[in-house]
Amino acid sequence: MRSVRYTFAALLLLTAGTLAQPHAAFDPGKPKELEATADGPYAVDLDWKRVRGSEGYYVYRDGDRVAETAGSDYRDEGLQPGTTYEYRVSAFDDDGDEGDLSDPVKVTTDALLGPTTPTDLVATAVSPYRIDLEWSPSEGEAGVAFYLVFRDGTEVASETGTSYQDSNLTPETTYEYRVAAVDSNDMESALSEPASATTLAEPGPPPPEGLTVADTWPTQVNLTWNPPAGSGFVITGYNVYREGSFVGFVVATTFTDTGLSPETTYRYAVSTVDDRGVEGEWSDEVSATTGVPPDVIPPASPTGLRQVES
Amino acid sequence: MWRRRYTKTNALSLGAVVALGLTAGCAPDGPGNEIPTHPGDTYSVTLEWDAPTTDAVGRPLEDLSGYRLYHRRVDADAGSETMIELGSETRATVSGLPAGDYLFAVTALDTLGNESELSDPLPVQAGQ
Repeated sequence: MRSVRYTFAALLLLTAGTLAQPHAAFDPGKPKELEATADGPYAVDLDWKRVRGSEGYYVYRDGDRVAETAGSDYRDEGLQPGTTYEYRVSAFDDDGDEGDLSDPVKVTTDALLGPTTPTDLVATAVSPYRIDLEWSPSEGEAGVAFYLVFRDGTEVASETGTSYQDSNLTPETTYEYRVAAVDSNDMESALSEPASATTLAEPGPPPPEGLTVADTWPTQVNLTWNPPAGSGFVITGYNVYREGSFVGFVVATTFTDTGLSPETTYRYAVSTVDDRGVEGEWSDEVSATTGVPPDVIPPASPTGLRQVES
Repeated sequence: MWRRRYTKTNALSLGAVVALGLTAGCAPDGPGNEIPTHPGDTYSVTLEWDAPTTDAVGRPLEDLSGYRLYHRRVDADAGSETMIELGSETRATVSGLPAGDYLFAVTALDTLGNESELSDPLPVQAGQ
Protein backbone atom coordinates (compact mmCIF):
# COMPACT_ATOMS: atom_id res chain seq x y z
CA MET A 1 0.00 0.00 0.00
CA ARG A 2 2.61 2.25 0.96
CA SER A 3 4.32 2.00 -2.31
CA VAL A 4 1.11 2.62 -4.20
CA ARG A 5 0.54 5.74 -2.33
CA TYR A 6 4.03 6.94 -3.11
CA THR A 7 3.59 6.17 -6.74
CA PHE A 8 0.41 8.03 -6.88
CA ALA A 9 1.91 10.96 -5.14
CA ALA A 10 4.70 11.04 -7.61
CA LEU A 11 2.31 10.88 -10.51
CA LEU A 12 0.23 13.59 -8.96
CA LEU A 13 3.24 15.78 -8.49
CA LEU A 14 4.48 15.24 -12.01
CA THR A 15 1.06 15.86 -13.49
CA ALA A 16 0.48 18.87 -11.35
CA GLY A 17 3.86 20.34 -12.28
CA THR A 18 3.30 19.86 -15.95
CA LEU A 19 -0.11 21.28 -15.88
CA ALA A 20 0.83 24.14 -13.65
CA GLN A 21 3.75 25.31 -15.82
CA PRO A 22 3.20 24.14 -19.40
CA HIS A 23 5.76 26.60 -20.90
CA ALA A 24 8.37 26.69 -18.19
CA ALA A 25 11.96 27.67 -19.38
CA PHE A 26 14.38 24.85 -20.08
CA ASP A 27 16.95 25.04 -17.42
CA PRO A 28 19.43 22.21 -17.50
CA GLY A 29 22.20 24.52 -16.35
CA LYS A 30 24.88 26.03 -18.49
CA PRO A 31 27.35 23.76 -20.34
CA LYS A 32 30.52 23.17 -18.38
CA GLU A 33 34.16 22.55 -19.08
CA LEU A 34 34.16 24.33 -22.41
CA GLU A 35 37.58 23.97 -24.01
CA ALA A 36 38.78 25.73 -27.13
CA THR A 37 41.92 24.72 -29.02
CA ALA A 38 43.37 26.45 -32.04
CA ASP A 39 44.10 24.06 -34.86
CA GLY A 40 46.39 26.04 -37.09
CA PRO A 41 45.76 29.55 -38.36
CA TYR A 42 42.19 29.02 -39.53
CA ALA A 43 40.30 26.68 -37.18
CA VAL A 44 39.35 26.25 -33.53
CA ASP A 45 38.16 22.98 -31.99
CA LEU A 46 35.56 23.31 -29.19
CA ASP A 47 34.64 20.63 -26.70
CA TRP A 48 32.38 20.72 -23.62
CA LYS A 49 30.64 18.44 -21.18
CA ARG A 50 27.38 17.07 -22.44
CA VAL A 51 24.27 18.54 -20.79
CA ARG A 52 21.76 15.88 -19.77
CA GLY A 53 18.37 16.26 -21.44
CA SER A 54 19.54 18.65 -24.09
CA GLU A 55 18.55 18.31 -27.71
CA GLY A 56 21.56 20.21 -29.04
CA TYR A 57 23.84 23.16 -28.52
CA TYR A 58 24.38 26.63 -29.81
CA VAL A 59 27.90 27.94 -30.39
CA TYR A 60 28.62 31.63 -29.93
CA ARG A 61 31.74 33.34 -31.22
CA ASP A 62 32.36 36.87 -29.91
CA GLY A 63 28.71 37.08 -28.92
CA ASP A 64 27.28 35.92 -32.25
CA ARG A 65 25.61 32.57 -32.61
CA VAL A 66 27.62 30.88 -35.34
CA ALA A 67 26.51 27.27 -35.17
CA GLU A 68 24.04 24.71 -33.90
CA THR A 69 25.27 21.23 -33.19
CA ALA A 70 23.83 18.01 -31.80
CA GLY A 71 27.06 16.74 -30.23
CA SER A 72 29.12 18.32 -27.50
CA ASP A 73 31.93 19.47 -29.73
CA TYR A 74 32.38 21.73 -32.69
CA ARG A 75 35.07 22.74 -35.17
CA ASP A 76 34.92 26.41 -36.09
CA GLU A 77 36.62 27.04 -39.42
CA GLY A 78 37.32 29.91 -41.77
CA LEU A 79 38.95 32.02 -39.09
CA GLN A 80 41.68 34.61 -39.37
CA PRO A 81 45.25 33.67 -38.47
CA GLY A 82 46.72 35.05 -35.29
CA THR A 83 43.34 36.28 -34.03
CA THR A 84 41.79 35.88 -30.58
CA TYR A 85 38.16 34.74 -30.35
CA GLU A 86 35.82 34.31 -27.39
CA TYR A 87 33.50 31.30 -27.42
CA ARG A 88 30.45 30.32 -25.40
CA VAL A 89 28.00 27.49 -25.88
CA SER A 90 24.48 26.89 -24.65
CA ALA A 91 22.15 23.88 -24.65
CA PHE A 92 18.61 23.73 -25.96
CA ASP A 93 15.86 21.16 -25.54
CA ASP A 94 13.43 19.63 -27.97
CA ASP A 95 11.07 22.52 -27.46
CA GLY A 96 13.75 24.88 -28.64
CA ASP A 97 14.17 26.34 -25.19
CA GLU A 98 17.72 27.49 -24.57
CA GLY A 99 19.65 27.25 -21.36
CA ASP A 100 22.26 29.56 -19.94
CA LEU A 101 25.45 30.37 -21.78
CA SER A 102 28.60 28.70 -20.62
CA ASP A 103 31.51 30.64 -19.18
CA PRO A 104 33.51 32.23 -22.00
CA VAL A 105 36.72 30.74 -23.29
CA LYS A 106 39.28 32.65 -25.29
CA VAL A 107 41.53 31.14 -27.91
CA THR A 108 43.98 32.56 -30.44
CA THR A 109 44.51 31.01 -33.83
CA ASP A 110 48.06 30.27 -34.89
CA ALA A 111 49.93 33.06 -36.62
CA LEU A 112 50.91 32.42 -40.20
CA LEU A 113 54.56 31.49 -40.77
CA GLY A 114 55.96 32.66 -44.07
CA PRO A 115 58.17 30.49 -46.19
CA THR A 116 61.79 29.91 -45.22
CA THR A 117 64.47 32.02 -46.86
CA PRO A 118 65.88 30.48 -50.04
CA THR A 119 69.45 29.24 -49.60
CA ASP A 120 72.40 28.16 -51.72
CA LEU A 121 71.83 30.83 -54.34
CA VAL A 122 74.43 30.43 -57.09
CA ALA A 123 74.89 32.83 -59.99
CA THR A 124 76.82 31.64 -63.02
CA ALA A 125 77.67 33.74 -66.04
CA VAL A 126 77.13 31.67 -69.16
CA SER A 127 77.61 34.31 -71.83
CA PRO A 128 78.36 38.00 -72.27
CA TYR A 129 74.63 38.61 -71.89
CA ARG A 130 73.24 35.93 -69.56
CA ILE A 131 73.61 34.81 -65.95
CA ASP A 132 71.94 31.65 -64.69
CA LEU A 133 70.65 31.43 -61.12
CA GLU A 134 69.88 28.39 -59.01
CA TRP A 135 68.83 28.07 -55.40
CA SER A 136 67.52 25.56 -52.91
CA PRO A 137 63.76 25.45 -52.38
CA SER A 138 62.07 27.14 -49.45
CA GLU A 139 59.53 25.48 -47.21
CA GLY A 140 56.44 26.84 -45.52
CA GLU A 141 53.13 25.89 -43.97
CA ALA A 142 51.42 27.61 -46.84
CA GLY A 143 53.76 26.12 -49.41
CA VAL A 144 55.74 28.23 -51.85
CA ALA A 145 53.77 29.91 -54.60
CA PHE A 146 56.75 31.45 -56.39
CA TYR A 147 60.11 33.05 -55.90
CA LEU A 148 61.02 36.68 -56.49
CA VAL A 149 64.38 37.37 -58.15
CA PHE A 150 66.17 40.62 -57.37
CA ARG A 151 69.04 41.97 -59.45
CA ASP A 152 71.05 44.73 -57.76
CA GLY A 153 68.13 45.34 -55.43
CA THR A 154 65.45 45.53 -58.11
CA GLU A 155 62.84 42.82 -58.61
CA VAL A 156 63.31 41.42 -62.09
CA ALA A 157 61.32 38.21 -62.15
CA SER A 158 59.01 35.79 -60.37
CA GLU A 159 59.68 32.12 -60.87
CA THR A 160 57.75 29.08 -59.71
CA GLY A 161 60.85 26.90 -60.02
CA THR A 162 64.19 27.21 -58.28
CA SER A 163 66.18 28.56 -61.20
CA TYR A 164 66.18 31.59 -63.43
CA GLN A 165 68.02 32.74 -66.52
CA ASP A 166 68.67 36.47 -66.47
CA SER A 167 69.34 37.69 -69.97
CA ASN A 168 69.86 40.86 -71.98
CA LEU A 169 72.71 41.80 -69.67
CA THR A 170 75.75 43.92 -70.42
CA PRO A 171 79.04 42.14 -71.15
CA GLU A 172 81.78 42.22 -68.54
CA THR A 173 79.47 43.57 -65.87
CA THR A 174 79.04 42.29 -62.34
CA TYR A 175 75.51 41.77 -61.05
CA GLU A 176 74.34 40.86 -57.56
CA TYR A 177 71.29 38.70 -57.07
CA ARG A 178 69.02 37.78 -54.18
CA VAL A 179 65.92 35.60 -54.08
CA ALA A 180 62.87 35.56 -51.79
CA ALA A 181 60.08 32.99 -51.53
CA VAL A 182 56.40 33.88 -51.50
CA ASP A 183 53.75 31.48 -50.16
CA SER A 184 50.10 31.08 -51.05
CA ASN A 185 49.20 33.65 -48.39
CA ASP A 186 51.36 36.18 -50.19
CA MET A 187 53.78 36.09 -47.31
CA GLU A 188 57.32 36.81 -48.47
CA SER A 189 60.45 35.37 -46.90
CA ALA A 190 63.55 37.36 -46.11
CA LEU A 191 65.97 37.92 -48.99
CA SER A 192 68.55 35.23 -49.53
CA GLU A 193 72.25 35.83 -49.15
CA PRO A 194 73.53 37.58 -52.29
CA ALA A 195 75.29 35.84 -55.15
CA SER A 196 77.28 37.72 -57.77
CA ALA A 197 78.45 36.92 -61.24
CA THR A 198 80.18 38.87 -63.98
CA THR A 199 79.03 38.44 -67.52
CA LEU A 200 81.64 37.20 -69.94
CA ALA A 201 83.53 39.43 -72.29
CA GLU A 202 82.22 39.76 -75.77
CA PRO A 203 84.27 37.80 -78.27
CA GLY A 204 86.68 40.23 -79.83
CA PRO A 205 88.67 40.18 -83.03
CA PRO A 206 91.77 37.97 -83.20
CA PRO A 207 95.11 39.51 -82.24
CA PRO A 208 97.36 41.04 -84.86
CA GLU A 209 99.92 38.83 -86.54
CA GLY A 210 103.66 39.13 -86.80
CA LEU A 211 104.27 41.59 -83.99
CA THR A 212 107.90 42.63 -84.44
CA VAL A 213 110.32 45.05 -82.87
CA ALA A 214 111.23 47.18 -85.88
CA ASP A 215 114.09 48.94 -84.12
CA THR A 216 115.17 50.18 -80.75
CA TRP A 217 116.79 53.37 -79.51
CA PRO A 218 118.11 54.32 -76.11
CA THR A 219 114.69 55.63 -75.05
CA GLN A 220 112.40 54.44 -77.81
CA VAL A 221 111.05 51.23 -79.29
CA ASN A 222 109.33 50.98 -82.66
CA LEU A 223 106.86 48.14 -83.15
CA THR A 224 105.19 46.88 -86.29
CA TRP A 225 102.62 44.17 -87.00
CA ASN A 226 100.04 42.98 -89.50
CA PRO A 227 96.24 42.92 -89.18
CA PRO A 228 94.73 39.53 -88.40
CA ALA A 229 93.95 37.85 -91.68
CA GLY A 230 90.39 36.99 -92.70
CA SER A 231 88.90 37.52 -89.27
CA GLY A 232 85.58 38.88 -90.50
CA PHE A 233 85.80 41.69 -87.96
CA VAL A 234 85.84 45.33 -88.93
CA ILE A 235 89.08 46.43 -87.35
CA THR A 236 89.29 50.01 -86.14
CA GLY A 237 92.66 49.95 -84.41
CA TYR A 238 95.03 48.35 -81.98
CA ASN A 239 95.76 48.61 -78.29
CA VAL A 240 99.44 48.41 -77.38
CA TYR A 241 100.54 47.10 -74.00
CA ARG A 242 103.98 47.42 -72.41
CA GLU A 243 104.70 45.14 -69.46
CA GLY A 244 100.97 44.41 -69.32
CA SER A 245 99.93 48.04 -69.09
CA PHE A 246 98.09 49.94 -71.78
CA VAL A 247 100.34 52.49 -73.47
CA GLY A 248 98.35 53.55 -76.51
CA PHE A 249 95.74 53.01 -79.20
CA VAL A 250 96.74 53.34 -82.83
CA VAL A 251 94.89 52.99 -86.08
CA ALA A 252 98.06 52.15 -88.00
CA THR A 253 99.99 48.92 -87.66
CA THR A 254 103.03 50.59 -86.15
CA PHE A 255 103.68 52.09 -82.77
CA THR A 256 106.47 54.24 -81.39
CA ASP A 257 106.95 53.92 -77.65
CA THR A 258 109.01 56.78 -76.28
CA GLY A 259 110.31 57.97 -72.95
CA LEU A 260 111.87 54.61 -72.12
CA SER A 261 114.94 53.89 -70.05
CA PRO A 262 118.16 53.00 -71.88
CA GLU A 263 119.49 49.45 -71.76
CA THR A 264 116.15 48.09 -70.50
CA THR A 265 114.12 45.18 -71.80
CA TYR A 266 110.39 45.68 -72.26
CA ARG A 267 107.69 43.19 -73.21
CA TYR A 268 105.04 44.30 -75.67
CA ALA A 269 101.70 42.87 -76.74
CA VAL A 270 99.11 44.23 -79.13
CA SER A 271 95.37 43.54 -79.36
CA THR A 272 92.85 44.30 -82.06
CA VAL A 273 89.81 46.53 -81.53
CA ASP A 274 86.75 46.18 -83.77
CA ASP A 275 84.03 48.59 -84.81
CA ARG A 276 81.91 47.69 -81.78
CA GLY A 277 84.78 48.82 -79.59
CA VAL A 278 85.34 45.25 -78.50
CA GLU A 279 88.94 44.32 -77.87
CA GLY A 280 90.25 40.90 -78.73
CA GLU A 281 92.88 38.84 -77.03
CA TRP A 282 96.46 39.97 -76.81
CA SER A 283 99.06 38.83 -79.27
CA ASP A 284 102.04 36.85 -78.09
CA GLU A 285 104.47 39.17 -76.37
CA VAL A 286 107.71 40.34 -77.93
CA SER A 287 110.68 41.75 -76.06
CA ALA A 288 112.63 44.83 -77.00
CA THR A 289 115.80 46.06 -75.33
CA THR A 290 116.54 49.75 -75.56
CA GLY A 291 119.99 50.82 -76.71
CA VAL A 292 122.99 52.18 -74.88
CA PRO A 293 122.87 55.97 -74.75
CA PRO A 294 125.78 57.90 -76.28
CA ASP A 295 128.38 58.89 -73.75
CA VAL A 296 127.99 62.56 -72.92
CA ILE A 297 130.34 62.54 -69.97
CA PRO A 298 133.92 63.59 -70.85
CA PRO A 299 137.00 62.01 -69.34
CA ALA A 300 138.46 63.39 -66.20
CA SER A 301 141.27 65.85 -66.76
CA PRO A 302 144.79 64.54 -67.15
CA THR A 303 146.95 65.15 -64.10
CA GLY A 304 150.58 65.51 -63.23
CA LEU A 305 151.46 67.68 -66.19
CA ARG A 306 155.20 68.12 -66.02
CA GLN A 307 158.13 69.11 -68.10
CA VAL A 308 160.72 66.50 -68.83
CA GLU A 309 163.97 66.37 -70.70
CA SER A 310 163.47 65.73 -74.33
CA MET B 1 118.90 63.38 -80.95
CA TRP B 2 121.73 63.57 -78.49
CA ARG B 3 123.53 66.74 -77.72
CA ARG B 4 126.67 67.32 -75.78
CA ARG B 5 125.78 68.54 -72.39
CA TYR B 6 129.35 69.49 -71.45
CA THR B 7 130.69 72.56 -73.17
CA LYS B 8 133.49 74.73 -72.13
CA THR B 9 136.15 77.10 -73.35
CA ASN B 10 139.61 75.81 -72.82
CA ALA B 11 141.21 79.09 -71.99
CA LEU B 12 144.31 79.30 -69.88
CA SER B 13 143.63 81.80 -67.21
CA LEU B 14 146.30 81.36 -64.63
CA GLY B 15 147.92 84.15 -62.73
CA ALA B 16 151.50 85.09 -62.79
CA VAL B 17 154.03 82.65 -63.99
CA VAL B 18 156.89 81.75 -61.78
CA ALA B 19 160.04 81.93 -63.71
CA LEU B 20 161.70 78.55 -63.70
CA GLY B 21 164.96 79.41 -65.17
CA LEU B 22 166.53 77.41 -67.91
CA THR B 23 165.51 73.83 -67.53
CA ALA B 24 167.07 70.76 -68.95
CA GLY B 25 163.89 70.08 -70.86
CA CYS B 26 164.02 73.36 -72.64
CA ALA B 27 166.48 73.15 -75.44
CA PRO B 28 167.20 75.37 -78.40
CA ASP B 29 166.12 73.90 -81.73
CA GLY B 30 169.15 74.99 -83.60
CA PRO B 31 172.55 73.39 -83.59
CA GLY B 32 174.84 74.13 -80.71
CA ASN B 33 172.19 74.10 -78.04
CA GLU B 34 174.55 75.07 -75.31
CA ILE B 35 174.95 78.45 -76.90
CA PRO B 36 173.08 81.24 -75.09
CA THR B 37 169.93 82.45 -76.72
CA HIS B 38 169.85 84.85 -79.55
CA PRO B 39 166.91 86.68 -81.06
CA GLY B 40 165.21 84.37 -83.61
CA ASP B 41 166.24 81.19 -81.85
CA THR B 42 163.41 78.79 -81.08
CA TYR B 43 163.14 76.12 -78.45
CA SER B 44 161.29 72.88 -77.85
CA VAL B 45 159.53 71.76 -74.70
CA THR B 46 158.78 68.16 -73.79
CA LEU B 47 155.93 67.44 -71.42
CA GLU B 48 154.45 64.37 -69.77
CA TRP B 49 151.23 63.82 -67.87
CA ASP B 50 149.21 61.08 -66.30
CA ALA B 51 146.24 59.60 -68.16
CA PRO B 52 142.84 59.90 -66.49
CA THR B 53 141.36 56.54 -65.46
CA THR B 54 137.80 57.73 -64.98
CA ASP B 55 135.34 60.00 -66.64
CA ALA B 56 134.23 63.27 -65.10
CA VAL B 57 131.67 61.55 -62.85
CA GLY B 58 134.03 58.86 -61.67
CA ARG B 59 133.05 55.93 -63.84
CA PRO B 60 135.84 53.82 -65.34
CA LEU B 61 137.07 55.41 -68.51
CA GLU B 62 137.03 52.93 -71.38
CA ASP B 63 137.03 55.13 -74.46
CA LEU B 64 140.00 57.46 -74.06
CA SER B 65 141.15 58.41 -77.54
CA GLY B 66 143.72 61.19 -77.16
CA TYR B 67 144.77 64.54 -75.80
CA ARG B 68 144.87 68.16 -76.71
CA LEU B 69 147.80 70.28 -75.60
CA TYR B 70 147.21 74.00 -75.21
CA HIS B 71 149.80 76.70 -74.73
CA ARG B 72 150.13 80.47 -74.86
CA ARG B 73 152.41 83.11 -73.65
CA VAL B 74 151.75 84.09 -70.10
CA ASP B 75 150.99 87.65 -71.10
CA ALA B 76 148.71 86.69 -74.00
CA ASP B 77 144.95 86.95 -73.72
CA ALA B 78 143.02 83.96 -72.41
CA GLY B 79 141.44 82.24 -75.40
CA SER B 80 144.44 82.83 -77.62
CA GLU B 81 145.94 79.42 -76.93
CA THR B 82 147.49 77.30 -79.57
CA MET B 83 145.97 73.83 -79.61
CA ILE B 84 147.73 70.70 -80.73
CA GLU B 85 145.80 67.48 -81.34
CA LEU B 86 147.64 64.50 -79.91
CA GLY B 87 147.24 60.76 -79.89
CA SER B 88 146.92 58.62 -76.81
CA GLU B 89 150.57 58.90 -75.75
CA THR B 90 151.05 60.83 -72.52
CA ARG B 91 154.13 62.61 -73.75
CA ALA B 92 154.59 65.36 -76.31
CA THR B 93 157.31 67.73 -77.51
CA VAL B 94 156.40 71.20 -78.70
CA SER B 95 158.97 72.75 -81.02
CA GLY B 96 159.52 76.18 -82.51
CA LEU B 97 158.80 78.16 -79.40
CA PRO B 98 160.43 81.57 -79.26
CA ALA B 99 162.08 82.23 -75.96
CA GLY B 100 159.63 83.37 -73.33
CA ASP B 101 157.30 82.38 -70.52
CA TYR B 102 154.46 80.04 -71.45
CA LEU B 103 151.53 78.28 -69.89
CA PHE B 104 150.82 74.71 -70.89
CA ALA B 105 147.77 72.60 -70.14
CA VAL B 106 146.36 69.34 -71.49
CA THR B 107 142.87 67.87 -71.93
CA ALA B 108 141.72 64.31 -72.53
CA LEU B 109 139.30 63.22 -75.29
CA ASP B 110 137.06 60.17 -75.56
CA THR B 111 136.05 58.42 -78.76
CA LEU B 112 132.83 60.46 -78.99
CA GLY B 113 134.76 63.71 -78.88
CA ASN B 114 133.87 64.65 -75.32
CA GLU B 115 136.70 66.76 -73.99
CA SER B 116 137.78 67.00 -70.36
CA GLU B 117 138.39 70.15 -68.42
CA LEU B 118 141.90 71.53 -68.65
CA SER B 119 144.56 70.03 -66.44
CA ASP B 120 146.26 72.23 -63.92
CA PRO B 121 148.33 74.63 -66.05
CA LEU B 122 152.12 74.28 -66.07
CA PRO B 123 154.26 77.38 -66.44
CA VAL B 124 157.21 76.82 -68.70
CA GLN B 125 160.13 79.12 -69.54
CA ALA B 126 161.51 78.58 -73.00
CA GLY B 127 165.08 79.71 -73.76
CA GLN B 128 167.10 82.20 -71.69
